[in-house]
Amino acid sequence: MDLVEQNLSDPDWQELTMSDEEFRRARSRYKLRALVPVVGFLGPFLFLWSVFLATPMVWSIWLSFNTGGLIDEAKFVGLENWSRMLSNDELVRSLKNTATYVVIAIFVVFSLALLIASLLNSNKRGQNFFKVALYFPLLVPPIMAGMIFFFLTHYDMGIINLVLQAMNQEKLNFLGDNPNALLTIVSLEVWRGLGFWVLFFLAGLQSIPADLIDAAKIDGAGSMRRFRKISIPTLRPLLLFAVIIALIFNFQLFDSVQVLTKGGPVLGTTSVVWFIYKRLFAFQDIGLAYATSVGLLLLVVVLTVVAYGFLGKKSENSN
Amino acid sequence: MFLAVLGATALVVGACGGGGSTTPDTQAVVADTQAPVTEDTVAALPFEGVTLTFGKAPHGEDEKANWGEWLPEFEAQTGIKVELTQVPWDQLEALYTANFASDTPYDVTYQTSTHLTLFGERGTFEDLTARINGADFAGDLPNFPAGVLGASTYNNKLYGLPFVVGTTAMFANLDMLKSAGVEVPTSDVELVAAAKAIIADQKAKGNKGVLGFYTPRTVADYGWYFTLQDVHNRGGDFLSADGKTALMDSKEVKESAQFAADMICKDKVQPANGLYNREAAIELFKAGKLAFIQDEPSRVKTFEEAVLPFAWDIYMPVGHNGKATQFATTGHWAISAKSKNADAAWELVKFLSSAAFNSTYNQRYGFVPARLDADASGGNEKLARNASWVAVWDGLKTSPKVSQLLDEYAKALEAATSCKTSVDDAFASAQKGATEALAQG
Repeated sequence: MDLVEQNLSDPDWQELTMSDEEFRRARSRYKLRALVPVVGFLGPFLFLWSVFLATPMVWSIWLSFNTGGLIDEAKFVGLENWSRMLSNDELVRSLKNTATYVVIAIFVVFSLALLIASLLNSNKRGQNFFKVALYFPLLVPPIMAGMIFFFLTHYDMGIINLVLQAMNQEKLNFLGDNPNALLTIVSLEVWRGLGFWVLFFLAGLQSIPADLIDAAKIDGAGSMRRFRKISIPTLRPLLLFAVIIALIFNFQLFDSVQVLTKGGPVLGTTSVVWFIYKRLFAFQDIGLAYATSVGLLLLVVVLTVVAYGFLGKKSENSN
Repeated sequence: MFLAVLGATALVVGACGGGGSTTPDTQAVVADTQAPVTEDTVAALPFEGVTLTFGKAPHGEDEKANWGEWLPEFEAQTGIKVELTQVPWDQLEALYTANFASDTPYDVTYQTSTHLTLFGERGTFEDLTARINGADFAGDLPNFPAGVLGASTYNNKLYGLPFVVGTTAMFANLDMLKSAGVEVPTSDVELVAAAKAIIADQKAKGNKGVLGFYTPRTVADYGWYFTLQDVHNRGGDFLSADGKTALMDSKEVKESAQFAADMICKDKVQPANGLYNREAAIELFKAGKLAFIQDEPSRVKTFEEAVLPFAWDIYMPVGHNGKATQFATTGHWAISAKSKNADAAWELVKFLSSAAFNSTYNQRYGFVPARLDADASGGNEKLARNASWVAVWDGLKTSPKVSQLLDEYAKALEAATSCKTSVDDAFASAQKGATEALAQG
């Protein structure tokens, strides 16, 4: 007789066992008890998520098939807004500007951030000072950042033109000429975002096992080779995340356009979100604004999937 | 989508009461109880205990403080408490959209002709036609010029009572004119000649940085506001009289744009777009670096208070072939269709539209009163002259699509004056955009 059978035959033990009905009730009580913390922890988030994200999102999709719907009654128009969106010249221009901005801004900010992060990683002296200094622009409110760049690029008083003048060079019309205006906006956003990405990549670089680097050093790999063959492949999962986040944020370019150029000169800096903003509020063309918003969401989703497919596979291979 | 979510969230918050009187920058202008208030007078106040919300974009940095002095008189007379919210111009459309979508929109708002019917035709504002024809307004109505009321009426509906009509003025540095031996120009051709002569004269005297003329031509600085009188001076407009056909590629529109483009690209009397924005150009004028600037008459007080180091005066913007008109927008007081205190709101609108208040407000901000019996000059000869220009006022007619049409016009004007796009190409594109906008209904 094994221990279990001994226990079951024990009258004391039998008193502790439950009938099927009792067991079912106990199991229900247990499940309920287990569910309480789940609901407690997830509930507030799910409530906020559904009120502030899911409902507006569903509502946005619905409004993209209507006219009106904010101040006045919504009127169903089928695919009319989508058809107007696809044939709108200004939107095409906005999309081109935004895509140009996204490509240049992400390339420049990632290149600079990786370079600076590598320098900080290999040089510990003054690292904290540089981290704070680089991060500081991100704390500046977007409107103030715009004003800083407005004065920086001012034709008469701007430091850049004063330097150009001192060097007997022709002054630049930064905000009134294309492509200068878009490049000014790229510079502003790179300046604002650089600190964040430096810290992001620095954290990644610091997580690379020192043994790997040391082994490569012993094998005679130079710093560039170590960077290319060890740092970049190790950072690839981080890069994937960075590219996706950067795509999502940069496609929402708006603040600096609003402060510096209002989409000008000659639509040279009009962005997709600026286009939406004008349609939604200034023209009350609600349907077109929401169709474009949903279109932008789909575009970002597609680009995210493409980025994941491209970088995600490489990271899996490298792992 | 971010914006859509943000907009929708703002509307949800607005619907929950956020659009009313509880925003952080809302400032209740509490009645100054300096006037002796007895129990009898309190009982006699017609709207005792009513609180009205009042939204307005400011015409000056000191406006909020001024309302603190202006409103107590009304509050003491009526027992109505007015809560003022200053709505920043650059966020006006977004904030008003959220506010009007809520259940508690501002009872009274200030609306320009670009927005009056944009919001009004969506059921936001009360049609005031019956109220202005009521017995309590019979003494006031004849003081409103028919032309001004007509420009503010759309489909026989008046969504706001006209308060001010805008004008623009040409400010001239008289010392520069005298030095160059030129008269104040009255036509476009004379303006170019005078500006060239002044630049040459100043250059000969060693002042190389002096510019001839400035008025905004960009979208960001509302170029349309300062240019459309040139179209009217040529007998044209950007929209047909019935408001149904876009005329962006008409001869008159293109000729006036060509003149504006030539001033920058050919005659070089105006700096290229983007070098100086509107405020920077004002500073150039104040510093004696600019001979002529066309801007709003509200600058009269600014320049007088700054005590400019040279003689200056204001003139009508130059005409064309003997015809000179004034173009600008109209400012109105509108009552929310959802207001639960519409009668009290009408009392406030009557106070704000009164000759006395109109005079007080415009003596400070330099607009032309929309009623003939108000004196906005306050003894200021320059402002009195500005007020007299209302005789040739040919301002913007309100319509629900006018904002979008003006945007098409402004983009084309900016392109044409960039010196890189031909006037024909720029305005062909504007015509296409405007026609599509009108077809949208």
